[in-house]
Amino acid sequence: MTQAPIFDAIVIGSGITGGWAAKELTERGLKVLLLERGRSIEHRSGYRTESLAPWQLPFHGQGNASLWRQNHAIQSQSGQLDEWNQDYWVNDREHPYESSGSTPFRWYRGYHLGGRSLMWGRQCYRWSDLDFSANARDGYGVDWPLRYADLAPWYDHVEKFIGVSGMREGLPQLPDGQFQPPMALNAVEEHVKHSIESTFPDRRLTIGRTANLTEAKPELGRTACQYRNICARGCSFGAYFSTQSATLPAARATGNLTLLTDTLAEGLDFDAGRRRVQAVRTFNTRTKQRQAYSARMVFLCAGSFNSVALLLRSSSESFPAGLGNTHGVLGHYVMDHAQTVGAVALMPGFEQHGYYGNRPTGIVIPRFRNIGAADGEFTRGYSFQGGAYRAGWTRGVAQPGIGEAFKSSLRGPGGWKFVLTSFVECLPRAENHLTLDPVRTDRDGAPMLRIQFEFGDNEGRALADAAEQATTMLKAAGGQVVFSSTKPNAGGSSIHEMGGARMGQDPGQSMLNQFNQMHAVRNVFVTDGAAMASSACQNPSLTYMALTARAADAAVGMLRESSL
Amino acid sequence: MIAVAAPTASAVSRREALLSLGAAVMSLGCPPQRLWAAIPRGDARAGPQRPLLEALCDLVIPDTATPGARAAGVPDFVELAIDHGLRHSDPQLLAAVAAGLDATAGGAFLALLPAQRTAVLSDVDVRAFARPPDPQAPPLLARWATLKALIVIGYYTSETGGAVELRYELVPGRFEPDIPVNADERAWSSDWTGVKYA
Repeated sequence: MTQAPIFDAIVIGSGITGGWAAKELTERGLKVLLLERGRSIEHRSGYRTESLAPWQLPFHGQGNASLWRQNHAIQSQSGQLDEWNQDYWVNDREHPYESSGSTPFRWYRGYHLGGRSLMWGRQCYRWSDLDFSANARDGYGVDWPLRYADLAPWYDHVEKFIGVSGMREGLPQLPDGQFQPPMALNAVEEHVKHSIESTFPDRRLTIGRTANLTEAKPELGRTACQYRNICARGCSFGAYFSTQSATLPAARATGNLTLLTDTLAEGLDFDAGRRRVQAVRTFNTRTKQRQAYSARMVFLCAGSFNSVALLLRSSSESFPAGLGNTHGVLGHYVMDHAQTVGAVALMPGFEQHGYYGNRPTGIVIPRFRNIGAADGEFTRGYSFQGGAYRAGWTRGVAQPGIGEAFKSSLRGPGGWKFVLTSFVECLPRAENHLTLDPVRTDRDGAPMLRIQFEFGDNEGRALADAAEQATTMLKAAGGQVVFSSTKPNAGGSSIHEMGGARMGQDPGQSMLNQFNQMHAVRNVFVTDGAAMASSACQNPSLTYMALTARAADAAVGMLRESSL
Repeated sequence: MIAVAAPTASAVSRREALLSLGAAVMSLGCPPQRLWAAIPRGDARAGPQRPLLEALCDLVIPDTATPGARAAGVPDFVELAIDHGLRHSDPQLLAAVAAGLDATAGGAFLALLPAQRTAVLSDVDVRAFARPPDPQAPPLLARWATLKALIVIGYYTSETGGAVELRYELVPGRFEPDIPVNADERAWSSDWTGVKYA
């Protein structure tokens, strides 16, 4: 093992937060080494299936089921993996984990440049003080060490750069942001919006706030959305935010970035004398070479559970239970939004209405429970996402009929449907936790992660209320509800897994301070979802990005004051 | 009827289409020669149930003003799909449907006159999609539902079904949220939301 040049900062992981850390640190003049465990996928040239029609793929876009059962047994259950983007999801045989809950946790991952920023759902919602003060108010988890006012300028900063389209609503529980013009609601969504808002004055239906451009960003060569809604293949228009389309080109433009792909961070070496991490030990998954890289600070952005795993395997005499884990909190209080289909309704009466183009976002009904007074049989809240559309030809799979009449019945657009998916806040609970398998490893020799996770009673009560309210709202709008569920999908299904290295004021009960800086090791910052002390019910990525940008700014300040 | 060329209708032209993708094929996670091996090779590869499969494709989605399922190359897709277990199909699917249809017909299904074939298959089809499902239903009905699903999927994901019978637009370029729909409107096979969540 040889010693490589010393960098100002090493960023571990190139997904949504790693890309942001690299951009913010390089733009402040730091020499940054960005480590990505997976292969390179370059913007545009790497999106090999982007323009293919179903008939140009071997399995017509349906995928090779036998291959998926072998290599993507878990990833293919996401409903997001398809024949176009299948190579963006990990091979489950090469990257196994263990799950010991009553329902196996589904850990959806992408190990390549850009990580899940390539396939993400793009929904961008600010948190409010209703969320940042929730732990302090009801006693679950530890209090957040910051409030909305601390993060608001960083939300501004992130939204302006990534481009978020959305409608200003003036809701205290879902603050407005720096929005590009909103995408439009279709005819049925407009109808349901007016029905809900007139029946329930405290409720609102608005277009999804999404990181898809409605106005071009020529400075990075990004075009406005073309309404294809095939984002997860990769978008050569750069019309949605990803590492590839935005943060990586920005970081590269500084001349301060060194990028290494196929390079897994195996551990962080702690210097007990200086009380600092002095090096990141890496393993090249292609050449099988090991190499240590030194830097004055480390940004850990490996994806929530992988960041926790890296800290757990970075044990030393000083920290036998994992880096910075002086109290046993590391790995505990992990969360994922409890999610299920609140209601699906047929929406008769709009047969003369259609739409052209494929909008890459649905609608959102922001949280309305437990905002002023406690009006739910549970603590905290939930929101709905979904939308209206006309059923496509696939309805023919479940429909009787053969011959000309059958063919004719599938020629036009099908009936309208409205879907409302419930997203329930997940309480932080100590028993939901991550550990390392003492024996078994993944393909690259990293100890296998064990995930112990169950949703609790509070999530169950909130899901029951969500199903009832979704049904009520769609019926009031003239819908015929055909399905409704109160049962959460398996943990991990929201692909919002978070926590495990929570922030907090008290070094005795939390891993990170208000700048995502490790209480016990001052030159390590954990800025991905691992840092989350609670889950709210909003999609979390925008908050991860704002926390990362804020932490990077603080870290550079500390470096300049020589306090790192 | 209007003859419409279906560029990918035959196994040969499908191989050509795949080759023409060039680098794109490389990204599918396996080398081109493996893809070649995965592509059905027409009659040389066709199993003993191929005549029945072609007849069923014609019965489910016939030629009208646009080509039907057989002309669109759906039998090749169905065989490939069964080989790889799509929709939990198993290798016995075609043989089991053949035996079930013969039993229902009281003789060889393929020996029936066209109108008789339609009557027998319609009866099976109606029972296969009965709601609520009949718990005493013979295994043929579930098998038929699987095979019919593969025919429907194969057709509307073919160029003929997706872009000739229906409409296909890779880059709409704009979103029009509320436009009038006429009675003879053709749906978009590229409405990915409508297709995914129908």
